[in-house]
Amino acid sequence: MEILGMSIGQVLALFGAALSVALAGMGSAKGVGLAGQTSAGVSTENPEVNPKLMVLQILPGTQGIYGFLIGVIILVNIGALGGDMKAVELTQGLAYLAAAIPVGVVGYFSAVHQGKAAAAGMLLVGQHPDMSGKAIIMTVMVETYAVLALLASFLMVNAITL
Amino acid sequence: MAIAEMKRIGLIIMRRDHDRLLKFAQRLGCVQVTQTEVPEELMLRKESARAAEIEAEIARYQWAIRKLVKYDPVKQSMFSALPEVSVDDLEGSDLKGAEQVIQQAEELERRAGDLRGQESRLHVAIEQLTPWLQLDIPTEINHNTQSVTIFTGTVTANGLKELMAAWSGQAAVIRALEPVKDLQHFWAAVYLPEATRFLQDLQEIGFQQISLPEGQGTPQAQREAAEKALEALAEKQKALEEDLRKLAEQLPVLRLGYETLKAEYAREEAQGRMAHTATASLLQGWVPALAAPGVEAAIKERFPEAAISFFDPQEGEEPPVLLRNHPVTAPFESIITGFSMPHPSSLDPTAVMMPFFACFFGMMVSDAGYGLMMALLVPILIKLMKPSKGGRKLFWIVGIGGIFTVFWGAMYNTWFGFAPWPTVFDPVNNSLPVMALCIGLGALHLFTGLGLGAYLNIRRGQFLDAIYDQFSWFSLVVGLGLLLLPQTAELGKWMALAGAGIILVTAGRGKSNNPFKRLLSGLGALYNVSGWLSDLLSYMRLFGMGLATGVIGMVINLLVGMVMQNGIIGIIIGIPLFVGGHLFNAAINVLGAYVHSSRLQYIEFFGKFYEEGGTAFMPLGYSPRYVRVQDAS
Repeated sequence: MEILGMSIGQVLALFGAALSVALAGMGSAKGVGLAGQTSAGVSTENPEVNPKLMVLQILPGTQGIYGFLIGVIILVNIGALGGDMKAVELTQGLAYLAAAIPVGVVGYFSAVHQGKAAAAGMLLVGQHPDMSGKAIIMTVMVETYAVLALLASFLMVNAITL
Repeated sequence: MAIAEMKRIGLIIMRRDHDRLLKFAQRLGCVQVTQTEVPEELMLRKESARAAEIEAEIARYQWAIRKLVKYDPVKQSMFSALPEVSVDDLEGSDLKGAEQVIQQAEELERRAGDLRGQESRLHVAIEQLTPWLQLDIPTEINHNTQSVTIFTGTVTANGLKELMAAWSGQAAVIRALEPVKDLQHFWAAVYLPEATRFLQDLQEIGFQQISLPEGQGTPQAQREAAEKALEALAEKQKALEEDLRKLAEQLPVLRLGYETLKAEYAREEAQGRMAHTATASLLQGWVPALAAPGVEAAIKERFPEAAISFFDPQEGEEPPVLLRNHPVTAPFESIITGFSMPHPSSLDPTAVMMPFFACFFGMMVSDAGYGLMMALLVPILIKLMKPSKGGRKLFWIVGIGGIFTVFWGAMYNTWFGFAPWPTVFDPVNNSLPVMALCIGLGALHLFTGLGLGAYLNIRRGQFLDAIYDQFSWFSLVVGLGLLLLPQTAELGKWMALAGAGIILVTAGRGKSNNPFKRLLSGLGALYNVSGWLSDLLSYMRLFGMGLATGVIGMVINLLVGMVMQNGIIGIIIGIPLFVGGHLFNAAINVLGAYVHSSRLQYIEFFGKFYEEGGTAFMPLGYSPRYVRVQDAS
């Protein structure tokens, strides 16, 4: 079935790419934003710890990158970047959509929660600057699930042969 | 390659020499002074009032530095080199100049506070004048006379209209003024005999009396005067800023003074921990065993009458922990200290951890181009920036990690996102071997940790514990792994069973004498197999992070390729895009690789053996923040 020169399968695959980039990106934006607000607050109290806080602030940003990654791989695989899209069956399109779910959904929630953990870690660093290593580790704990989701999505995308 | 052995030092010296001794010890930088416990009645402890004094002074210096740093003509960045001073500068720096700077800063702060007060008073005055601006009567003549009463204040807007209608043609002049918010201000002059009746009418429409602000001239004129005064104030504030800027040129003097005081404070603190009689002083503390002969000789040379002796730590005494490693692995000590110092009776895992850390770091950055840049730039940057000790360690970690990155980047065949040669490991198109490699390296890492745990047990003579706690798990996990391959399944079965059996029977030892309860806790321990599974899976991040670098690098090149097709303009935009994009990708991945590699050590690796709880060796020395002490010759 083709509408306006694009099959439903192709549209679904694009939806998949959009979902992974958008959801994970939203989560990271929220997480980094939250951490940034806390960083600003802690820095007014104790400006010297600011460089240590930067690391904590960046941490929730990786989910957005993972989502972007899966999105780009989908686009590359369906040939959307060359301007000459491959034929995508309906089921294949649905499969792409499914493959986007782990990195999109887990990316969103893990980024938000990682942002919260980062913010709490910043408060810790503001009081005890020597604890910054531990604060970073606490925050990185959340990242594991985003990495696992990235892997799952990646394996799923790679399993789809056009 | 381990935790440095520590000796206790006991040192008796003439009381008059103790200041000189502490200065000398501070230069040596390898004596940690500990509290000397002596019966109160035997000793005179020199009350260290000076320490509190210095602390207060340090707070003043810090305040002034923070105040002035905004105006610092030399912009300090994270990467700029600190000024270098000699130990003599620190010991003998004259604080008079710094004191003057602080007094000036305090004076400027007073002036600034004064100006702020004036400013807010003027703002309040303007605020109060606003409702009366339409009144063209100078305030100084705007008051009751013998025959006229003046009313000023607010009423409801409708009420005022009715009032004006009702009183028109009578002996009253009423002016409605600008409404401010929802309050209708007004002014009225009423012939005295009518005033009482007028007031009654006013009260019916919600009259609130408000007096005009005091002043000369019409409200409009007063407001203009106030605004002019504000402008003058702003000028003064600008002049003040200029003074601060000029004062900020003296920041180096302040910083040196701050460090001088800090060093004196450290000596004063050490002095407080010593014990003193009228003529002699006793210092007790810790010295690394290797440095002990040198310390003895150096002190004997300068203080011939001093009595020095060294002892081994007593049973149950916990010496401070100092990590000693080969120069190549030493930078990685900071990874350990960032977590927690090992217990003095335990071991320093730096040397064992270093290859894993650097290898994992390289796998996660995984772009040979970035690795080359790191490995080449780090020595240059260290030359240029002269970072502090801690900073230098971090640089070297990145530099050594860069070498490993080149290796893994070549394996993955990623050079700045390009793939110029045939690929050994292709994570994008053939990911299973790479994943297996990650899990395999993870298993090696975890078993190394287990091996260190076994080593600790064996070193303490607890051979059976090594079998119960480490060998059993090794057998179980390896056995389970062998089960996956049909050729080795039989062997795997027996290894796993043997391991599980040992754990089942022995994990509850020491917890209870009841054999049933022991079995129960053995079962609980066996559940930890799931922990091993999640530990192993955790190494998949090596794959995920490596993949991320490569794909983003590829996307950057793709975008740049598209832009570059558009002739000369495309090239002009494309080159900065290429450089910026890869810089961003490298930065975010180096940070991620560092953090995640640390995590794999702290959680997965250390979880298998690490015994924390030591306190770091803190010798009396210099630890300046704003300057760098020249290496003593």
